[in-house]
Amino acid sequence: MLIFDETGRAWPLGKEIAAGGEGKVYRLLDSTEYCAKLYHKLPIPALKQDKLRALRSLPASARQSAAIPVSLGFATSGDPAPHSVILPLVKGHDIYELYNPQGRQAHFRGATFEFLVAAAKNVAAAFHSLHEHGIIVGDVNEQNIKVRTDATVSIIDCDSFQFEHAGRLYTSDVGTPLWTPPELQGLSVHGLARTKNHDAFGLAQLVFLLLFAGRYPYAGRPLTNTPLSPEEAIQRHAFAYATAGSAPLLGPPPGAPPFESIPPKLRELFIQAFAAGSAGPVERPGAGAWIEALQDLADNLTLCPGSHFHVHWTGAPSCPWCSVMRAVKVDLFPGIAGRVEENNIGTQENSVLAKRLLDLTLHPLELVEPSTFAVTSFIANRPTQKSQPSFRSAAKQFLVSVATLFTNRPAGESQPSVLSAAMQLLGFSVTKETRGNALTKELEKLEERLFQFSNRSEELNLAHRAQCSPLLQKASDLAARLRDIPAMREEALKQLRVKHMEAAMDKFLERFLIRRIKIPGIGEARLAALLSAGITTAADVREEAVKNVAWFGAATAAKLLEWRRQCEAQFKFDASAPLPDPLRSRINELVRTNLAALVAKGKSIEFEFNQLTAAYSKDFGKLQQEFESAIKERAAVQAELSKKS
Amino acid sequence: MIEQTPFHSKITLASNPEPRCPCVLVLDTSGSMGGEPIQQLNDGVQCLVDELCKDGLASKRVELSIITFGSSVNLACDFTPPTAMHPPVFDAEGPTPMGEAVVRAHAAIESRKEEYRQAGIQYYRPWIFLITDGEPTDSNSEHWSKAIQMVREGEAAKRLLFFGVAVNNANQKTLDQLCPATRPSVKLQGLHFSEMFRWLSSSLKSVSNSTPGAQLQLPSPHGWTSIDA
Repeated sequence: MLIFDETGRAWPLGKEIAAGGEGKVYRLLDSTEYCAKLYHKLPIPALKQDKLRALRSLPASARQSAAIPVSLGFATSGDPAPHSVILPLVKGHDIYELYNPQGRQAHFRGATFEFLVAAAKNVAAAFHSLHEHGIIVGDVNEQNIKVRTDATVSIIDCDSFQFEHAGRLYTSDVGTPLWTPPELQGLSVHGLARTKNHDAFGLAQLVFLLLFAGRYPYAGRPLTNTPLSPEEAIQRHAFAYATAGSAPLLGPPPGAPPFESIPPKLRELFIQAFAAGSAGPVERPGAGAWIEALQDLADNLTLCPGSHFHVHWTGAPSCPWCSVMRAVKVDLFPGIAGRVEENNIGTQENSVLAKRLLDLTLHPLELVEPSTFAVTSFIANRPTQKSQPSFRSAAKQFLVSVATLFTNRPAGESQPSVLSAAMQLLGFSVTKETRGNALTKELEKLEERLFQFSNRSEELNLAHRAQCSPLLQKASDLAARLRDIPAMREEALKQLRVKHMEAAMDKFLERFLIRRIKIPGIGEARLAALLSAGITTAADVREEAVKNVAWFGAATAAKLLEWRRQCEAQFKFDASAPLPDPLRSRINELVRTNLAALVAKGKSIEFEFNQLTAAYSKDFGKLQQEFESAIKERAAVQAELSKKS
Repeated sequence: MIEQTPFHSKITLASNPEPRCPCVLVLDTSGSMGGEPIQQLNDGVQCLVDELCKDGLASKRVELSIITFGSSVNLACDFTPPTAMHPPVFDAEGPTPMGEAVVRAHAAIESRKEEYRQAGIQYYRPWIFLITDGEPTDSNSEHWSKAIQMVREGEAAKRLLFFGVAVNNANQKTLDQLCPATRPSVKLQGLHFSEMFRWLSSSLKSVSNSTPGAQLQLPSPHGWTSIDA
């Protein structure tokens, strides 16, 4: 697609780079300096058109701080109504990627507090220069400010600026709740004339976010039971770091750097900006006050002896970044040290836990004959028992057959069934010799009771096994997954590398402009058809896209595709080059989170297994005691009997 | 069972102080969802995660949790930032304990909110996004009446945003008992799950970017809702 500037020059559009509520921003293929914003709502309302025209007349010195449009854009040459604007392309990242610790690791790796102070000062300088020209930013927010790698900044989305031109006030008409000062919360901003003091709120919040590593001034630990929405907190001036004032609503959140880690002058400015009364009559600090205080901070920075990346104010009671680490175990300025350890994330911890999980086994218990009295003596007293196996060997037989239940192996042919083993163990057969007296009856009852013990111990063991085997299955599955973590990381890296290569290839192919080459069989008309179908570079030449272009036969399409293949052949991809940081940190975060979840699950399985085993041993202990007393009772009856006979 | 504690939640709250928008996907994985629908649902959830990851700010603010209801009500995924999310693959089986699932989602939100408060993290109105192709099999239980009460109170106090989506032959009348009167359930056109989740992604993104004084403007659901709904 082409767009035409005010001089009639045509610019082919490149990739979409941003999308917002009002429109989409595209690169211009022939330019590294400019981009174009195309509006969704067409025609652009007359007032907006006037505003866009007026924007171009803003002084050049204001352009250093903001991406102010250089030209209107038109769909066709000579069109009276614009559908877009052409504006400077700003390199860099949205400011939230700098103050947010995760974003900083991904996009500004290695940036220290010194860099954040420099960026804060540059933000204040940008506001200062706009305010000097009577321009109000209006919709200050985290997505309207770009920070470059040298900490300089540029404000974008200038069509929402408020300014006066030719005696007419152009208002901003938009806003972002999280960035709206208390006195404007809940009001409609449409047609509202904003002041520098309104901008000063957004500026102060930006400086705060930068100096406090992404913490919001109005986010804190609640001191009352009334939950505050982010907007309510602003409206009620609930500055979480305010020391003075009656009945504070919020206290500093855990893991935020202490308020005392910045100089008193800056603390004073923040209180002036955020605490009650900041709406007037005393105004919030202006850009100039911030510049001065931030310069003073920049001149008084020192390095923590514990880390090369912990830069802080010389007057801080202790290193604020170390105290955050102590409080929440997160290093907000890990610098570039992260690279060394990332290949080993969790390898130690997961292999130890995996081994422990695999080592979890069932230990079925057995009823043991009481050792407090001599078994041999009571067997010796029973001559009729001679043909029976001894108690000890019978017990062994019984336990072996019980054990086979647990090991889940089929019992050997020669092994007697559990039941018959138990009967032998308890000397069941002897009771057949009836003697007709009370003692014998009692003995029979006792034998019957003893017989039940084998069932009861078997039941206990079976129940324990039923409870534990799904857990053990889970444990071994989990151990396998824990051991797979390095492989998972490799797999994810591989996939990302492929994606990365495809993206690099696309970028490479975008450099081959169709207009600049001569392909046999493609004249002016076909070229125009291609361009209007949005096919402007080799990257756009895809089979399905080319087929659909008017006047294109298979032969022409084939020529074009052949050209793309030639371009592709020139592409060299260094497979050994490291992946870009954002991709790496996404993988690392993925691995870490997965690992953390697996470890937590593993530990809870371990815990549950130990709980179950403890409960089982306790139950079995009780059964053992009952068993022992029953055996003792029987021995007593038998002794009585043998006395009589 | 011993309750598990998500290990990572504290760490991500400390290293990312952005205000959060918690969103629970309450997904019907009962037997009737088997085959094509569950497949599309799986792909759709992955699509949602991918879309959110593409947006630097949304990926720091939105937290997703997934609760499935089928043969049981299951917390398939606790609140996780999209960049660290690996959506589980769902299987379709069992009845439709919808009421219990909503009660569970509500409890999950309450406990996450408490974690935010403890960590001094601000949060936006939480979302519950429910997708079903049937009708609750627990509508005679106290879960169902409790679910209705929770949604009603949460919506009235602006503490909750509830969305009900009906798939195929879902009983929309019953579903509308649960949905707030101002936002009745919508019917998914065919199995356009990916379009629907893309809409959800852009709606979640817009939560923190609305202009003050204007009503919360969600993108038009045209493109995935059915006209005869």
